Amino acid sequence: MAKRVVIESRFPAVKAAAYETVALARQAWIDQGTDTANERLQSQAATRGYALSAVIEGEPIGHQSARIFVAAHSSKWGTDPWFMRFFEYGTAYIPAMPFIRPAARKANKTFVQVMGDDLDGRIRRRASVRRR
Amino acid sequence: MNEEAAAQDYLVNRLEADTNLMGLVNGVWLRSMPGLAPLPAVKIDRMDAADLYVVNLSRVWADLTFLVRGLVKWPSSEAQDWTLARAIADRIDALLHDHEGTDTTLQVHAFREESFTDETIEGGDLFLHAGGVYRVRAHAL
Repeated sequence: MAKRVVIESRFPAVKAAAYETVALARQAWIDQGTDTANERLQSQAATRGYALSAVIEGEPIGHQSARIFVAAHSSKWGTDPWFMRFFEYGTAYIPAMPFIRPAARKANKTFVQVMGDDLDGRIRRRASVRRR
Repeated sequence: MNEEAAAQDYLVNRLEADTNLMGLVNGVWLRSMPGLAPLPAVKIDRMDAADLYVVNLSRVWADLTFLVRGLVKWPSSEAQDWTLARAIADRIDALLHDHEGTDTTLQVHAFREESFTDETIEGGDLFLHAGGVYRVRAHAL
C-alpha cells in the first residue's frame, strides 16, 4: 500500500508568533520609555528647581507602533504641554534637559532585546517545531 | 578620560576657529548663555550620551548627541527674517556634518542626525533658532 505524504504549512503560526512578540516588545518599549523619561524629568526638574506638573505616559498607536508623550498641566496653559519642548531642547536662556530622547534610546534597546530573546522560542512553540 | 567634556571643548574650539562663522555670530556658548551675552550666537546643548564597549571593557567611543544652533534675536515688531539664522545653521552644518578630526586628546567623527528650527519668546524678545542635532563619536587618544 502506497504511503501518503501530508505537507502542512505552519506559516500562519509563525506569523502569529511574530505578531505576538512584537506586541510584547512594544509593551516593553512603552514601559521602559515611560519609566526612564519620568525618572529623568523628575530628577532634572528637581536639580534645577523647576516645579513642573508633568508626567510621561505611553500608548500603543497604529498597527504595531507606540509613543511616549508628555501629559502636563499648568494654570496658564491648561493641559496643553506644548511648552515642554523648551525643556527637552532648551531655549536661548534655558539649558536643555532632554528626557524623551534618552528614554527612546533606552526603550529601543529594550525592544531589540525582547525581540532577540523571545522571537525564536515563540515561533517554535506556536508552530510546534522541535529541535532535531 | 571623560570624552563628553573633551568633545564639548572640541566642538566649541572647532566652531570658534572658523572665521566665516565668527563673522556671523558674537560667540559660542555651551549649555548656559548669560542674559547679557551679545547675539547672534551659537549655543550647544548636550542631548544624550552612551558608551560603546568591546571585550575587556575597552571603550571604543562615547556616542554623544548635541543640539548645535544659531540664535538670532529678532525685533518683535517686524516680520521675521530667517536669513541670518539660516546662514549660521548652514555654516554650522558645513563645519560639523560628515566631519572627522583629532586634537591632542580626542579622535572625533560627527554628522547631523536631524535638523532643528524653533522660535521662542523670552523676556519679551523673539529668538529664532536654527541648527541641528549632531551625533558625535569621540574616541580618547
